[in-house]
Amino acid sequence: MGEFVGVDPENLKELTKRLGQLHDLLARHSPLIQQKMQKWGSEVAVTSLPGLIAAALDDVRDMDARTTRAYELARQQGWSALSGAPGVLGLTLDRPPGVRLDWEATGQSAYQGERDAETLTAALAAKNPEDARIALLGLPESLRRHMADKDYQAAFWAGAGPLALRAARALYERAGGALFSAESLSVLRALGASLAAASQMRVGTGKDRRPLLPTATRATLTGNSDPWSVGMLVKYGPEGRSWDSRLLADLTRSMLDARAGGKDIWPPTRGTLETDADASRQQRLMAEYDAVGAVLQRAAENGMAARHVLGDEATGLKYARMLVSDSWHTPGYDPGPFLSSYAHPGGALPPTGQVDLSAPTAAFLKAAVSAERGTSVDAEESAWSVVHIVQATAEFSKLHPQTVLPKEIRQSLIYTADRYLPDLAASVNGYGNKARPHGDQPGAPWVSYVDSTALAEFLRQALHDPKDLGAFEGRMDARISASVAASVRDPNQDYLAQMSALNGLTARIKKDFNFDEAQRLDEKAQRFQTFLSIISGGWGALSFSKALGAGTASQVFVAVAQPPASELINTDHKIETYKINEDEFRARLLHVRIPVIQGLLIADLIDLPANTSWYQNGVISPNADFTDWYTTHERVVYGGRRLDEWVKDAEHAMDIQR
Amino acid sequence: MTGRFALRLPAFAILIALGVAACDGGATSEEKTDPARQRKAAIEKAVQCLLDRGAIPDEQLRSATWLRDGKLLPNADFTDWYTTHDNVKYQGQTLLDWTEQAEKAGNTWRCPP
Repeated sequence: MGEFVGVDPENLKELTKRLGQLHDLLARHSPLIQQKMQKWGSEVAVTSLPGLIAAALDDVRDMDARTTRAYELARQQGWSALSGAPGVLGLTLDRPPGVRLDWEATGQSAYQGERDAETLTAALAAKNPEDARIALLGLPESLRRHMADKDYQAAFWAGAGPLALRAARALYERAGGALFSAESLSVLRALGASLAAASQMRVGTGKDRRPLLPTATRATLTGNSDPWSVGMLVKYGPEGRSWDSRLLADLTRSMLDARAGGKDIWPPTRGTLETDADASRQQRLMAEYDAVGAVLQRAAENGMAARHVLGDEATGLKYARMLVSDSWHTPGYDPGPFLSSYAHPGGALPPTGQVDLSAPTAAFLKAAVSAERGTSVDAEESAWSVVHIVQATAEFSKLHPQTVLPKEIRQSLIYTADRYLPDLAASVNGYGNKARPHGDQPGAPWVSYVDSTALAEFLRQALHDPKDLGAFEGRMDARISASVAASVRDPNQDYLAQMSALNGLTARIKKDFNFDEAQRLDEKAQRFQTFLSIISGGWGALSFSKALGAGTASQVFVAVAQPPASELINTDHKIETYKINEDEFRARLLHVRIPVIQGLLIADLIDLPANTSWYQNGVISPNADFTDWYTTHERVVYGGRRLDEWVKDAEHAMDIQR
Repeated sequence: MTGRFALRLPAFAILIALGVAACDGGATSEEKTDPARQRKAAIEKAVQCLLDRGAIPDEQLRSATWLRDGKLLPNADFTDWYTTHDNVKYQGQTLLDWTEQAEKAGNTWRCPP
């Protein structure tokens, strides 16, 4: 127990306000003050200024907590803020009476945290959105002020935890266009931001170090009692990188489990749906307030969270199966009841009005395979994510042979294939599914291996669209220079032969698709255009030269795995198709030579005079001199193969001779 | 996955032993969907042949999880080993060359004595 002092709550409130203003002013002008003092050569020590400002903020918080307590004591003494004065119509503001306050005990932000938790709990328990809204008017500001305050955060979430997580359900509007009022949004945003900040805080030291969020709160978060409300806190909370990756991963798993388990993941239905327009509006509302999508989106932004989920050796496949699916849309509704009995005599009709929700799912899948390649735990999780995504896709295709996955999801599969191309090339003849270090050299990067049957099904699903397939082939072709250089530097491994095997597999898949003439032209044009735009952008030289510096096998592998930067790729293939067909054979032959020679240059095997007209700034621009040079060098041996053999192997890898 | 190969290998070994020519004779429907099955059969034959001849140095096999009592039991670690050694020369030719010969000759291929 500290010292009790008599205070006037209203004066205390005014004092707190002014202290707050003083702090704001100081904080705003501190950089200028420091700058000026230094400029003028002042003797006054200004280095401690930031520390003093932080202390001032603590004082503001303390005073704020005392003010809250003082008003509370006044209310306990029977005072009410709004009371009807006798004989006067309407309400007048009453000054609170003086109270006695334990100055020390209440001057701690933990106290404020407890009080705010109580306010929130009482407001949400009232079950009347209007009352809750009024009671919670001051909460967002308090939460924001204490965002980085561990004592407050610990007390607030210990007190408010489970109920705070259900705030969205207590606050939503029962009628009207928007589901949340501006004030409610402000509360949800503040709660989300506070939860995100608390998720990153740890308490204790050494062995005792643990998350600040109480176990009970974390259990409620992932306990699925009201997944929709939790999803709304995440939706209105900050960007994914402001959250703890483990918490977001746990949240993702629990949301996916809730969805798979048939739990209610959608926003509440308001009123009865009387017309087709009502039902259709409800579908759009479901899409707008999609809780699972909100969590997937934040986990995707976080990146590591997505990799924790799909990269888990034991459970990653289970969640990959849930994600690689054609079910990412709102449930839709039965239009039958809204049709006249003439048009529809009865019985259930196929659901209509579904809204596509696959974008966050696709973003999540991409994030799961996006760790920088290497030896880190993150790279390991990323590699396992690839394995699980390929397996899940193959299983989906097996279960639904006629179903094509939504475009967004297929794009994420293609993205996966691009990032792990050498891994998949090695898996064309693969046995079993596993992530492991590449070879047994030290510092080996993590790679993904999948079974050959799973790989074939995966590519069949991913490359369903002729243009996608063409673009993918074009990007594969463009890696010829990387594969040539890699084969030189890592002589144990023939990267061109592996790319050739992958090209053989895509050719086989293409044959199965049985494209019509127009589709075939699309695919061809896209392939050539993509290839050309990448190699003429000098990509091979740009992304490869640095990684090859030290020349170890691991670095070579990581370099080959580097997908071409997408901004360099012009995917608009509105070029004259006629022209391509006419010149195609000649042009392709020429353009196989370019990446091959590019690759040999990268591997430092060809020494060109500085004034070579066809090679400037790391980019080959073919001209008559280039053709001459090639003719006079085609039988020269570079890195164990003649130049024309390299070109032949590359043509084979690019499938030109098939 | 391992289960499937555990089943397949004995059948495969019997086929070799009997010199049966039919390639798809013992294949299950799942194997028929594997576009790589001929190539993989060639890889297995070539590597088993090199193992039998003692052509692969021991230090390259030290951590092999896919080898039991001199028999090849292919798994994902084997995919990694094959990939990282496909251009290594064993008895004068690369692993890729050995595989290509075995694939071209199909069921008539025998490990050279």
